[in-house]
Amino acid sequence: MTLLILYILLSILLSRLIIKSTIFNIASIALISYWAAYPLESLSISNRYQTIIGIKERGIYLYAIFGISFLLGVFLITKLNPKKISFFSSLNSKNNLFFVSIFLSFLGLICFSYTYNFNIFEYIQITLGLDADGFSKISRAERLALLSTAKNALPYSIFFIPSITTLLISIKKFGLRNFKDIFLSFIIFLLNLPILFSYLIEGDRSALIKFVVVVFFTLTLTNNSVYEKNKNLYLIENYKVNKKVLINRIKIIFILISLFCILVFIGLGRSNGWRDTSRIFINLSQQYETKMLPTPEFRSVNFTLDYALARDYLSNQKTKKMFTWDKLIFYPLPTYVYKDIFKEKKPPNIGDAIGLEAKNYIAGPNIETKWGFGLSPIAEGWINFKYLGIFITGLIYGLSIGLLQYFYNRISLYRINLLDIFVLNTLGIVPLIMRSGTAGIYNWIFSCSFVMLIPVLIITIFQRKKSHRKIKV
Amino acid sequence: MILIQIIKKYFLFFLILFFFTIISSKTFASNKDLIDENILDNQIKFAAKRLITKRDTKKWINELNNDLYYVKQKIIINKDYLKLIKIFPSDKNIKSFDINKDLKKYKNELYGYHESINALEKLYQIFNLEENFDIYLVEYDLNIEKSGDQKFLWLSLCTPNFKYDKQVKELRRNLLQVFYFLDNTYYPSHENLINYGKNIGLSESKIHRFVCKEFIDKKLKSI
Repeated sequence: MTLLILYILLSILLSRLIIKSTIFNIASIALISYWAAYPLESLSISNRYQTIIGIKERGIYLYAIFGISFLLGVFLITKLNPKKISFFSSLNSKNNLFFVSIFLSFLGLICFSYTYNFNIFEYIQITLGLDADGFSKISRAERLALLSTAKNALPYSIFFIPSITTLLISIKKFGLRNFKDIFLSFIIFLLNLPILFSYLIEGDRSALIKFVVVVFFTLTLTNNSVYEKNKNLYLIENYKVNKKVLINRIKIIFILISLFCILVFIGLGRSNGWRDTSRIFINLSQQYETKMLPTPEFRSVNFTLDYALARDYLSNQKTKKMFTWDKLIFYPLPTYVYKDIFKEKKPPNIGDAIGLEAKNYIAGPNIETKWGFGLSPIAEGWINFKYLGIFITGLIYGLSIGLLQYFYNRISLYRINLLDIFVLNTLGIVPLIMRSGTAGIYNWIFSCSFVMLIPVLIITIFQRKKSHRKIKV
Repeated sequence: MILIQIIKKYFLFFLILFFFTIISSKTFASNKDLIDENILDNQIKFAAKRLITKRDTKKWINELNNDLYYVKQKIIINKDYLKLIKIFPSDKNIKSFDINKDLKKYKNELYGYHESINALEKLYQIFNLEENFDIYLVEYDLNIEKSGDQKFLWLSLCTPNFKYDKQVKELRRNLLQVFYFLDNTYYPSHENLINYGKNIGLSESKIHRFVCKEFIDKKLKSI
């Protein structure tokens, strides 16, 4: 507890060093939430496995190492002041932004439809928790496992988010002034609608968080960057409470609590194709009676840390090959591409490897269900290089969040460029940093940025041809 | 010499005495059986029967083997706990005493599973040897006076093939335990059956004998 309070104090102090520290604060709140929840509850699986409290007592120190290195990373960025690069600033036009958005939304829709064999009924059946025949029920975990292992599953979210970002930038910057703009925006929205609908119907909280965060940060952009405005408002200035800031903070706390409640209700009601919504309050009271937090989110992520600490001493078969840091660079490669290049099956990421090992250890290898845990970056660091691994992970996370904050504070709608859009797309993952693992975050950033390069490349080719023609004329 | 002379002299008397002793003890025994049967008649009532097939036996062997895996795994996990509490010491850790107690419980359970699986395998062999071999799982509702109106489930394994009666008797204890392992919320354990017998003042084997006799003579023939 003392360590956590110390972290919170240092975090508040550090946030005062940054002009506007929303991104850093979100990341820090995420870290604080998982840290605070860690000693409160343990994952007990089917009365067959329970966490040893001694492991948790050690884990708290690992959280502290991670927290301190995270703050150090952010602090270093505030002192380094890296130079902002302007990359492909010709994107800053209404036509180009609309083109990128419509192109990505179209690709997203194709990927989404391909994943469900271009069959809307199949999608609805799977989403409602029925198997392909439409008879037997499958759990949400099984459904996700089915999708993740399906040969035709394509990552449609990596198209959806950049498409939304560019659309919003275009609308915010240029407005909807004529019919063509309204029509195009409507078409882009329609193309993206099935994916958004899928997030809602599936109760995919991670995807919804990414979407909401990206929308929020894009809509708060103005023609002048935060850096240019250079307006710092503090809660306490000259030993006086700033009422405006106080009201703003209360609003933020209220919004955060409301969002937390909504996410908890989604988590409790989404199982079995939303057929169990009547059980939300029963489930909630059961969680309360068993002294558990209303969402299993924290305990399942924190389990990966407990498991990582115990892993070396457990008498179970360990996954020989997984995406540890030495292989991380190849992680975004699609399964079939990886198989073609390396002539072997793509190894699981650390989170999946932990899920598989824990399932085999506790439930047995013959059980054909997939156990998935959000991977704690602390567990990932520990599996890679023990204490040093945790320190490095914390530092990298801190540097990354510091950089994101730094770049975001310098984004102005007036001079928006491709790098700014990369930053905005990346922001979606900030609240999820404590449950994604480096591989997941890297994959998200790489994939979202990579797909944007395709329409940008097309624009470049067209622009060159156009300029060649002009020269000839 | 004197003893031989006495015996010779009173031979007829001794002979009569000997016959009387045998007859009276036999009568006493049969009377006791009659009393016991009367007790059971009042307290036990046929509920259900199930013909056990070769296929069932195979299926149960597989199911028990699966469960056996979990028991083995529980032992491994508890042994790991012993290691972990040494590596990660804390006052709040589960105590090694409790872990060892659980380990002992799981080891006994493991032994029970092995015995039941062996019994099922032997039963499977009998099925292979004798095509016409029939064995029934019979359920009786048992009324124990001390417990008021509460009814208890009595289980017996009965075979109309008397040739295999002895073998079934030998396997009975472990075979009945199979059902407890398969569904412990419905079927009683072997210990439960012994206790039921104690409560009505009869030995477990006597109840089995009575139940099987009653089932084969009355219920099975009437079907």
